[in-house]
Amino acid sequence: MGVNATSWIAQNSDSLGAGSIWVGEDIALGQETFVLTASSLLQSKSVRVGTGIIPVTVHNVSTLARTGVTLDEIGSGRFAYGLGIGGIQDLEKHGISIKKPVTELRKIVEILKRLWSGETTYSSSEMFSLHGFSLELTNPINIPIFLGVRGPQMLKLSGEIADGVILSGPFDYLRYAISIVDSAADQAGRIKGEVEKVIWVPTIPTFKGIQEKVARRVVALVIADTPDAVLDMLSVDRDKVNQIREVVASSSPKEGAEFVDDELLDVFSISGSKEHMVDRFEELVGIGATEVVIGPPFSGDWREALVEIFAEVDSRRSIP
Amino acid sequence: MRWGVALNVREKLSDTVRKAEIADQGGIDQVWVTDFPAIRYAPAVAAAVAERTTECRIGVGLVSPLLYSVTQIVQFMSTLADTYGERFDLLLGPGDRHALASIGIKHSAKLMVGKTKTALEKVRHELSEAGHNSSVFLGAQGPVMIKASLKADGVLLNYADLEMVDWALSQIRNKVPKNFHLGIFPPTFVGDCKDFERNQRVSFSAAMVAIGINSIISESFGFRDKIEKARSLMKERQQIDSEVVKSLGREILQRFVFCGTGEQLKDYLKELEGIGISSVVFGPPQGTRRNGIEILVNVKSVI
Repeated sequence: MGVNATSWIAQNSDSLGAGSIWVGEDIALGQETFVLTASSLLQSKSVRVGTGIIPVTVHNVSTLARTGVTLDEIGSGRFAYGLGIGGIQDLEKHGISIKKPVTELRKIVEILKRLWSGETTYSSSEMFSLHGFSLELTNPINIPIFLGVRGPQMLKLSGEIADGVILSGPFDYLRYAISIVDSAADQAGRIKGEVEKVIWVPTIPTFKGIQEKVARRVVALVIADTPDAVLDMLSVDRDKVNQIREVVASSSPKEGAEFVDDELLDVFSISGSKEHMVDRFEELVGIGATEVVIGPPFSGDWREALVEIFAEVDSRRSIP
Repeated sequence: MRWGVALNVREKLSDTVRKAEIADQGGIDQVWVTDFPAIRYAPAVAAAVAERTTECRIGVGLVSPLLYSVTQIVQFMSTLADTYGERFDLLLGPGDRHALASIGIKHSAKLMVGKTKTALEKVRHELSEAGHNSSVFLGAQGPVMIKASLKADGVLLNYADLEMVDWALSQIRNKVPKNFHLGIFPPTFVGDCKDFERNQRVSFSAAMVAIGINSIISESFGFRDKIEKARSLMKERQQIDSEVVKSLGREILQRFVFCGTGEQLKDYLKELEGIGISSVVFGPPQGTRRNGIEILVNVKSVI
């Protein structure tokens, strides 16, 4: 996503009525997420700006801690830190493997909280090693941590320790995921609803010029990155899904898009008219989402599409 | 002479931005946003500085290629330039060994230098390929890095002593490409320096650089033994404290810091120009206080 698109969103977020902006990181691709997040905070006034997500596998933990302090100061408390291990495809592509991802993510969240509370840390794990590192903070800072996760152990971890969870996937999976997060939060003695649920499903406003082939390409990529455990929950044509995954792995999402039919498009994305899209957002709220993220991909007349979608949301809010 | 000042050492972001505004409005050519071991992440701070300044160039660094990959460095420099215009330069260097060790990065000095040299070429090439005009500087002390800097757009030496600077320049004097920036980036303090060993911020900054000095230089200038003793003492005490500073002594510390009045600074800059230096970056503690920036602006206005 380019800087112009990000700037437009940041500058118009308040008038659109958005509650948050989430800036994602594709490992080694595109613009740098921390700078984009900083500029989004600087160019907006009241929205929350979060990273969605930063793969902890490609940054030194001290950098994660330092970026947290910096962005928290830039945003005067409007920053939220979205963290995760990273997408399966991305990690494989960059030769990154991690033996115990759940343990590692837990340790990283713990160490970040300790550093932000002002501690000098001596701690090590599979991925980091700190020897007397401190952020030299005079006052502790409290940065909300959101975890972008998928599997059941990761979902439980989020329910236990995160301020929020960023979820993506088909509706059947999302119901399951939210129930695990809530159950884990309850077992950890947390207040009901304490863990925010941000749902980030590909939203493709085909009503404003974005072509269906773009939507199918995005869905092919999403299918390729969806773990078997999630696919097992769905009543979709598994042979077709496997075919898409093979084609994406051997050539590209563009080729895989040819096998994405209307049913898969509807299961793995939210597209169509603005009314239909907002209907689907309301379904998500019904299953427990506290926030729904619109986009990417951003193509076609996406700016106007955003304006119309937010207007549709607003019009429904104003109906008593 | 091009003037720069280092910000973002330990101060809060709002202080850094305010000082950058004063420097920008006062005609300072460049503000340098330091990175690790600074607490705040330089590229994000540079974005905040860019939002509030219009004229000055903004330097990011020193950035260590041991902490960030080449791709990450190119990404943050490109994103800054794409968002705020072509105002950004980069300073690369291996970084402080002890500070890097505290975050789990431990390499031999040879490997640190090797990785930095490789990163320099790649970063410069990739930024150029992406159409950015950022200058890439190399922070250097010893002969290997000074020579390696010829593949950069400039070198910044982190000592102040004219004899040492001249020695450094002698390593590359006849090989310097056109438009190459020869600069220094030492700890500085413009003010009363009669008893600078007692000024902790000045003497500690000088001691930090002195202790990390390349052994070829300390040998060449006859203070290797004292540096080694100070290093041992620092290891024993696990930090630079007043005893470590005292063990180095005024004669050595003075080589690593400019400490003097505005008048003395004017004379010093003339001497630097005389030996070929075209750029000076006022390192900490000068930029740690708002007043320090105002002093620089005042001195620059009368030169």
